[in-house]
Amino acid sequence: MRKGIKIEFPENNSPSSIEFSNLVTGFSAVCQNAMVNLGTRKGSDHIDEERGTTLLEEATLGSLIDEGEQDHAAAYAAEQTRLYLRNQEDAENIEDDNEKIAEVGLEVKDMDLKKIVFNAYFVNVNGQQIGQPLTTVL
Amino acid sequence: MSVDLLSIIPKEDEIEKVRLESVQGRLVTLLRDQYPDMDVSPNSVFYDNVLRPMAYIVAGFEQAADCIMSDLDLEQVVAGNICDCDFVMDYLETLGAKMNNTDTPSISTIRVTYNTDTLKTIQNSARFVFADTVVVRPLTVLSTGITVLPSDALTEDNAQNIFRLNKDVNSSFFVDIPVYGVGFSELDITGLSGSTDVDDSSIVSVKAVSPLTVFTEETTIQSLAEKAQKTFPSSALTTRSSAVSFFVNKFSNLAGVSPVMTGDTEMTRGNTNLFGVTRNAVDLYPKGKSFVVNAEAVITVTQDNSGSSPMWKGRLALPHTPVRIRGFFSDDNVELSPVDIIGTSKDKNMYPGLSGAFSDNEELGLLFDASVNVDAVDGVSTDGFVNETISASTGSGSIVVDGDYQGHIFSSASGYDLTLTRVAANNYNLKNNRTGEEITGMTESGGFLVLSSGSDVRFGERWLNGIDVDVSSAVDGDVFLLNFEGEQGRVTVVYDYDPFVKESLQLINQDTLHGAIDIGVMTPRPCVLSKVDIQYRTDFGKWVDTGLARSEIYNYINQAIYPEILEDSRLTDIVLYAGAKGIRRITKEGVLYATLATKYSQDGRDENDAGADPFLVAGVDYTNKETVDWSDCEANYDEVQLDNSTNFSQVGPRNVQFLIDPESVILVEFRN
Repeated sequence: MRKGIKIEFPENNSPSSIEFSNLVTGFSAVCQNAMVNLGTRKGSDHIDEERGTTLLEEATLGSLIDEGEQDHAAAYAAEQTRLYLRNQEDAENIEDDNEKIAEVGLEVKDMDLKKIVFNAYFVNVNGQQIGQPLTTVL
Repeated sequence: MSVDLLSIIPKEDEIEKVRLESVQGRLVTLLRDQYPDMDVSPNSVFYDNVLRPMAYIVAGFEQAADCIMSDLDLEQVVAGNICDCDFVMDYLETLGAKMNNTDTPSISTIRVTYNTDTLKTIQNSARFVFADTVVVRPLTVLSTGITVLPSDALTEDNAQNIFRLNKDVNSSFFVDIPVYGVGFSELDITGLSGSTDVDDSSIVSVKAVSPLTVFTEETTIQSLAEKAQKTFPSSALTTRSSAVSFFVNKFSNLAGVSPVMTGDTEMTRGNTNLFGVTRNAVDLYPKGKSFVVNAEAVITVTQDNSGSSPMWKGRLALPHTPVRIRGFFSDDNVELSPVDIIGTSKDKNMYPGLSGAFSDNEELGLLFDASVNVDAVDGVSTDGFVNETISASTGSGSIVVDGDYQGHIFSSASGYDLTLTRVAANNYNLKNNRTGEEITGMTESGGFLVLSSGSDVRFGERWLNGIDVDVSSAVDGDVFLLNFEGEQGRVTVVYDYDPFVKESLQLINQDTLHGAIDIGVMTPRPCVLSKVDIQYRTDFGKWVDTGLARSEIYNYINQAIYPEILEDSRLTDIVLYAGAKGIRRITKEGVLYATLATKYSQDGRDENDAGADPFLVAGVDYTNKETVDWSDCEANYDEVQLDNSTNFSQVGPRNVQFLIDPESVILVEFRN
């Protein structure tokens, strides 16, 4: 089972931090990586330029001008992350279905002049879900 | 040689992406193997904070190491792919290829002319200035000053900073001295007059006699690497390739150099001693891009009336080693033919037999029939002795001197100023007061001084030939002064020499690389071509650039040196390049010389000297020259062979050069 060092993502506006004494394992570790990927600017890693998403770039360029754009950018970032993780699974020959991503969801939860708050959730191949979508599609 | 790897690690964005991916992949594989559960996927904490920075560090080191490895690959350096110039220069220096700097000189030869024929001294630090900006100093083997002996001296030794004056046609005296300067590019200063800080009122002029040639070429790192590729790593003179490399590296003016080593047919000097140990020797035959130079000098001859056939005789004391003698002339410009040119080795142990020919190690003497007009100097007739008693200038004894000075084939003066000192019974010293040369330990026999005795058995005969010195009335401590003149004449010698050989010799002697072997720097034996006849074909109405062809053929032939021997294919190429359609025939005629001497003294003495060995005679005991005449290229190689192995001389492809005058290149055209 995959074991990674835990990153604490606080609920309030505090910055995230690394918890060197705590581990995340299995699908939680995959979700943590996915979270980092969602917030990573695509192309910022010279070694792996496919890593990351365009979300941060669109936000800083002022592209998220309305709810539609925000939803679109978030959904696109989620899909970029899902595809990236799937590619990584193939590259790393991941055999444990618990560690295989099936769905990445990203929604805009709140937005003001200083920040955007996203809600993310992840589902693995076995249907295990971490996080909840804000709305449920019936 | 050291390298600071940290200083050449590239910046993040200069590290190649492929290399980063490779390193990252290798690190992931390594970690997964050791710690299968550790999450090292991109976006993980370990990846972002440990593995990724480490990938950059490892890739940076790898790229830096590759740079250094690339700098060690001379092909990369030659191609201009240089990572660390300082490192490359240090590395190339370990291969014997060194960038020019202020410590390595440019070289030339200057002529200092004096109005007196006396002992001169030139300090090692002397300055000679040409064109206001070119400053050169003597290129000496030893760090001491230069001693310039009078023209009649017998013991010049450039390797010991001892030079000798030479007479010129204006009755002045000159010496040619190799010099060096720093920081110049190639500069033709030949013929320029210069100034000097040498404090000597007898100096008449200072002139440059050869171009200033950069010792080590001003060069780029790439061209240095090209040289290094050709350089044997040891950069010593002990193997053929390293000897060639040494010259290639040191001499920008080099047309070629042919090393002859022990084991080569042409090497006759190396031998085996009593214990069966072979003494290795190397003869270097360099050839400069500067061609042989024509020069003239005046020599003194003395009349010898002692035999049935009176002769003029004297040493062929030239300032250079002649490679070709154009002629001997009187002051009236009448060409004189010597009866014989006598040769001898200066050091028969190091250069036995004819092996020292065409080098500083061979002495040449001349014999003319007494009937030739050699312009006996008016007012200087024989001033001989007729049983003349000379009292000691210091002491109470006396000697009786009888006879006229009869000259000597290896004496460059017609008179001497000598001091004879009786040290003890049967022990005399004889000193040449003009040159400072001295023979010690001379003995007497039957009351007469034995001329062929003492520390140098050759000198007494050269100084006193024909004069008997009765020392029976001398006592210990007596000092006698002997001044005399023989009947003298002068001969102008016109000859060719290669200035590059002397400059090479001086630099080789100065260099510390030559190790514990005999190294001789010799002028290649000349094959003087009297005719190169090329019959070529061209179309009617087409023109061949014969001027170009003639000039290129002249350049090619005069610079050919083994392994680039004279080949018909090159001659053909030149003429075809000049526009010919085809070559019908090439004929070459010339004379190949083993030595210029027609007789050879085996012991450095005249065969008429008491107890001396008889001369070897050309045509009987050895072949001094051979006419070559060939018209098919296959024979070229075999033609340049002159076997005098019984007298330590072999001329072959490795030690032959070809000399030709421009007018001897004959182009004959046939039109279709």
